[in-house]
Amino acid sequence: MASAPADLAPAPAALRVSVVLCCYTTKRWHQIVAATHSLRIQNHPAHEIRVVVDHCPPLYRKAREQLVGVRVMVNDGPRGLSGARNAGVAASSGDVVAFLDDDAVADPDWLAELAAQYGDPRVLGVGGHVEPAWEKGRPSWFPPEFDWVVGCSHPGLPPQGGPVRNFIGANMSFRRVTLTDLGGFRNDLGRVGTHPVGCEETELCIRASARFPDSVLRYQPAARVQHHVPADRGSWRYFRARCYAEGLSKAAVSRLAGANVALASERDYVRRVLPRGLAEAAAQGNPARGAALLTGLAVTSTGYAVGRLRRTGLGAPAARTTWRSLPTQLGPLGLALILWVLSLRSVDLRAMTDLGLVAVLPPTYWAALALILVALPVLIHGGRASPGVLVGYLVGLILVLHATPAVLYDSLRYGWAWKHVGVVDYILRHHAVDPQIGGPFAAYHSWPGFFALNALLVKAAGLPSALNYAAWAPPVFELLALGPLRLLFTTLARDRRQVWLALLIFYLGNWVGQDYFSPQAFAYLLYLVVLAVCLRWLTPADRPTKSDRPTKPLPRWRRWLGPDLPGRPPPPPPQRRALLAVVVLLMVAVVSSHQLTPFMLLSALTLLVLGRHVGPAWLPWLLGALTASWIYLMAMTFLRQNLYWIIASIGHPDQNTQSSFVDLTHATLDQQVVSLAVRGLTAGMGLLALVGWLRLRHYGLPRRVPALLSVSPVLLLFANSYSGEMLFRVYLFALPFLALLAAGTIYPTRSQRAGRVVVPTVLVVLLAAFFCLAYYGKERANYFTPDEVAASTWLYDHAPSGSLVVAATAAFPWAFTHYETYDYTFLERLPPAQRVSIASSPLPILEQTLRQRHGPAFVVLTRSQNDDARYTGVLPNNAMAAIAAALQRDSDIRVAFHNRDATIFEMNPPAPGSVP
Amino acid sequence: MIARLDARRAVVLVSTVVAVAAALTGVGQPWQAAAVFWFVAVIPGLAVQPWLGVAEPLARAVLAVAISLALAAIASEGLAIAGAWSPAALMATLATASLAGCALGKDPL
Repeated sequence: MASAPADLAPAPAALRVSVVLCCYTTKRWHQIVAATHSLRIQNHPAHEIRVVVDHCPPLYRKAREQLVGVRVMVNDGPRGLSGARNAGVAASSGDVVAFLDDDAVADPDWLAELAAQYGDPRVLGVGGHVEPAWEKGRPSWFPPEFDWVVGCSHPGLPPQGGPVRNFIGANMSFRRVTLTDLGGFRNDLGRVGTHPVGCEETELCIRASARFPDSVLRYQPAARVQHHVPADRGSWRYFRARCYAEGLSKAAVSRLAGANVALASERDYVRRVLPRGLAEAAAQGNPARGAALLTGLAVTSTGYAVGRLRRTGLGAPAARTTWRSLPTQLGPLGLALILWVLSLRSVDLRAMTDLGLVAVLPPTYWAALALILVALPVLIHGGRASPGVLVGYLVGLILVLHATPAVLYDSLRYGWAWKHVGVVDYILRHHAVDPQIGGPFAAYHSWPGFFALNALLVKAAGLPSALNYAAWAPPVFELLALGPLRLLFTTLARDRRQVWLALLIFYLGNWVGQDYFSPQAFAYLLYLVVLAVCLRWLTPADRPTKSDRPTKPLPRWRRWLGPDLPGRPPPPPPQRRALLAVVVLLMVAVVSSHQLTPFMLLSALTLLVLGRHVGPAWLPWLLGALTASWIYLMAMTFLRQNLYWIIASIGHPDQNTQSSFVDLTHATLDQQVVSLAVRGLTAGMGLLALVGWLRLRHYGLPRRVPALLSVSPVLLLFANSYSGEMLFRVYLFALPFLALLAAGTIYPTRSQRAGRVVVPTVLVVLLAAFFCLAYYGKERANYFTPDEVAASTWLYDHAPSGSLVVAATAAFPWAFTHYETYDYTFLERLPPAQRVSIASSPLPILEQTLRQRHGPAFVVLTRSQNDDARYTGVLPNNAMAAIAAALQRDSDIRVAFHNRDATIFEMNPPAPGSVP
Repeated sequence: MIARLDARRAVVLVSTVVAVAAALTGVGQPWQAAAVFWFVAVIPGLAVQPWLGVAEPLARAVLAVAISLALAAIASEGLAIAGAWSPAALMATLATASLAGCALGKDPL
């Protein structure tokens, strides 16, 4: 049975009470000023006073400029009192959150009286007495029994205080942890502007009592506020309208909480309070008051009956997407998927230019993509589509972008993916890994988690090789990332539209292509999950302060890193321990699967712990210890071989910029366009994130944690060049948080007008254009024709063990089987001077490489290598042709295999006794 | 509550039995691959859900996959490092862990 999380609260005297005051119109300005003034002079000073402006920019500006001693913020959630209160709660940091209406004035002892009740750990919330302050005096007919019509206390409440079912919204308080645990007020209940419906606090109180049945909601009449009642609320018309609306609201609460619970107090009220009121009216000779009592009861009952009969409306299941709207919302997606499937039947891969797939994908493909890219921002902006529909679109987008190569290509894309298949093949044959193994494969044996996992999958599934499924890794990894990304984004942002747009931007910004069959893709997925779990559940526990000893203030730089996360209560200790165990498990998997990701995670967790966004301060220490232990035990061979360049690159971030951006001097126009798209997309994401951060900062919305996590990978830039790839890896690890900040350039926005959707749509289409060029632009080097695959197959069928395999670059299917029995040399890794001269005089350089071997050697030259060399500029443009011609002229070398895309030269070892 | 509880246990139980049977008997493709991939990627994590006390369906799904893949990777590489890598032993380990999850206490939902 659940118990209230009250044992975390300090003693009443030390209780920190945050006050949330929601407002929505400048017409109440003077009342807002009076309300905030009454809060500033409390005898029990408020921990903070948060004025939440509900979608009213003029009021927000005025309040920021003129209100003193309060924190003004906007309601970035759904419009209405519930949304505003939830926003205020999310921003609050006190032990208790008290709510005061914007047209109410609190007595100086208000907070002290409320706080005093929290000494009882069973108390979940405390409500006080709300006294009407009639603008023009109480109308003679207006019965005090119906003071709830004007939001005030009525005679049905216990005069000496005590447990109640629910509070009156103008004067109530709850433990903050209770509110966050309950998920706050329901947004589909509650007043919106002046629309007189409510019961959101009633529903929340009922939910709280159901969640914590051993706890109590206490009414304390000594905690008093005066509630302004304007003249128009003393009219019969308002009386009837409010009674009817109350009936509707009660019906809604009944649907949510059950009629027995929802109407328990009302039955008692009708049985005891109303008859007493009628008797008093008769004794006073006030027939109008008696008539008002009966009319109020009748109208409220009618409202309740009508509300119960309605199948939709308040309290109905929150299904924004109805069955009727489903075809409209999903129609574009269905059409897009049909067009996409049709487009894949007519692609001539051989016609690829230096724009890669962009040059050969037919108009139907682009139409499919455009449909998704236009429909999705429209649905996000409208705010009415269900999460299922939006997820459907994102899945469609991932398929269109990342499954297209898997469907079109008849072989595994990207040379390094073939090599990774080879590592799985090693484990399948040897039933072991060898951390002492040297050479270019040392890292895979030192961090074998991903490969061992795939060896299990291949063998248990009865497949001959990981080649059977490795081509589908990109869409699978991207789809798997969707879940943790959404968890992260919903934790770090309050606006639903910002979350969905951020997901879309992430997928359009992820041009780096590290989602192929690789350990980094696997570790990246776990990295996202670890951060999601830590930020969502492993927040620092609110420890009770011992006596009144003040907590030592944090240094300024740590306060700067500090919390602006939407508040979430820490889970109960058993759940927290279990989730910590999960995090440790995932950290072990990350540490043992990839050499770079643990350092990225370490950097992120360290910043989160320093900013007190993540609770267990020992997590980064544990991760550091795990990483160091793993390197010491498993990766010393790798470390010894690579220590020189690891140390040499420390503190040289310029190595990244030099090697990451290719020299465009000799590139074709198409490749210049592709390269510019890469740079533009990367820089554009950074710029968008900066603008989004500034905008979120302007509105006082959460942005600090995404900013920290965007910056945390950059620290690694100074530690290592990672063979010149570090810049891209930094971008990849920062990308989720850059995307979340970038979405802040658009959302939250107060407008849901259709015209405003143009901005996110144009942004998304532009990002997609850059993405397609950046992601598909090098496909001539990543795609291997059947002829190239045939050449590699021949090579590994015929090359004896111990052979040397020489290639211009690694852009061909290599090392996918028996890789440890061959040695590999790539001309792209020759010293720069030799790479330049190899075009003019290839034979001396090749012979130097080939003849130092005493075993057979094979030179593999393919079309994809030629394109790769052109794109990266590692070899002169005519080098491949010159090498092939020189080899053909050499009498000691023969053409062992040849087709239109590949040539394999074979050099037999010199005869024994001959002079090399 | 009971329905959810039973559904989780039933999925774990059936998936485990089917995957182990498919791996042992070689029922042919794509059934064997589908059964084994589903089991390795989802079931061990699904089995330990009651310990986690997480209510959101999305979070449960994310944790189920992450825990399953991490467990499988760690177990597999552990045996590979020890020079004793064995798919049969790994499947047996994961199946045992999954079935043990079925015997866990009350599901929080």
